[in-house]
Amino acid sequence: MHELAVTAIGTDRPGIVATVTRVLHERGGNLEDSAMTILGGQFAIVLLVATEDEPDALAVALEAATAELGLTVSVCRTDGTQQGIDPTHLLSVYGADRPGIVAGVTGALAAVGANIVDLETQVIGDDDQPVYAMLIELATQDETAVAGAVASACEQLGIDHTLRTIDAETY
Amino acid sequence: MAVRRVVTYPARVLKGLAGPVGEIGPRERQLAQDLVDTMYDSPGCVGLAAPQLGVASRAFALDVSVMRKPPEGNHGLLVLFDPELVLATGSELAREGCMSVPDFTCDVRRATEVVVRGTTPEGAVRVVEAGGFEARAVQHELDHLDGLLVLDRVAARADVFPRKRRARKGEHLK
Repeated sequence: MHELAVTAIGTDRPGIVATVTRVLHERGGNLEDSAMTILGGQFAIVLLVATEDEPDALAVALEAATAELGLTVSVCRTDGTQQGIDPTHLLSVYGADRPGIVAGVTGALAAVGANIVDLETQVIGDDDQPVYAMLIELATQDETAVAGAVASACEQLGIDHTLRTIDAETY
Repeated sequence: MAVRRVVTYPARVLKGLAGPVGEIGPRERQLAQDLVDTMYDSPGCVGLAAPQLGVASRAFALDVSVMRKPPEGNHGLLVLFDPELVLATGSELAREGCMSVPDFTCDVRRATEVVVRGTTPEGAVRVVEAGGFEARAVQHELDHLDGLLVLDRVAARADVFPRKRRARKGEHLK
């Protein structure tokens, strides 16, 4: 057994997850971890599967089974050794929608060695005044460095933010 | 009767520290009336803080009795100037929305019982013991006076951005 990383994305419709996971199951694969969600009108699947399959063989099987769904599929080998890490902090960033928010903030995090565990973005607010909101779960040993780096990046971008330890009580 | 426009983020007044009001005069009573009128005019709205009307003053109006299922033991209409949180106990995660961050809800952890003290529009000191959803609403309004929005209170990534259709206008507060 080894671990393969599978991605599949296509126009959303019922049956996408069922089809992809049926193929994995029929070929003796075991789903290790997955994230599946709608982005706009696209349904995106990212998953890790423990399997005897070679990447090319699994890709061919998935493409054949999902041809009707029009999914774009990729399969690649992982080293299968790295464990996931637990986030230590939650960073909430929001501001008037403008280009460069994600790049600016994540660049600041990378510069101080903070590891992003999870990131989600959404445009909220009124149509005439869109607000970009981003929630990042990150892992760091150096809260002071992260706080400073994020504060200066957000100031430069003219956006607001809150950095908190995860599970901290908030009042 | 003066229904005013509710200010939405990124208006800076929502991110600043609101100033103390002190003595209650005609201007303050007018602000109280505007808060109440605007709150009752906004469907689904159970509370409004002065910064949401663009006024950087420590005041809010609140009335959870207008909810479809009014919480038991609620105080009806509350208008307080210079409100202070005297006591907060308990802890509960629940969904909140905000007139100033339209079409967005997230889970926020709040105390379940609070005691808040403030000055009424008549100039009297009032102490209110609130529980449950009313306590949550009090804390939400108090946050507005300190420039804090629900986005600053998000409890965890998994609690935010529920993947469902946006709440319809006026239904942000459950």
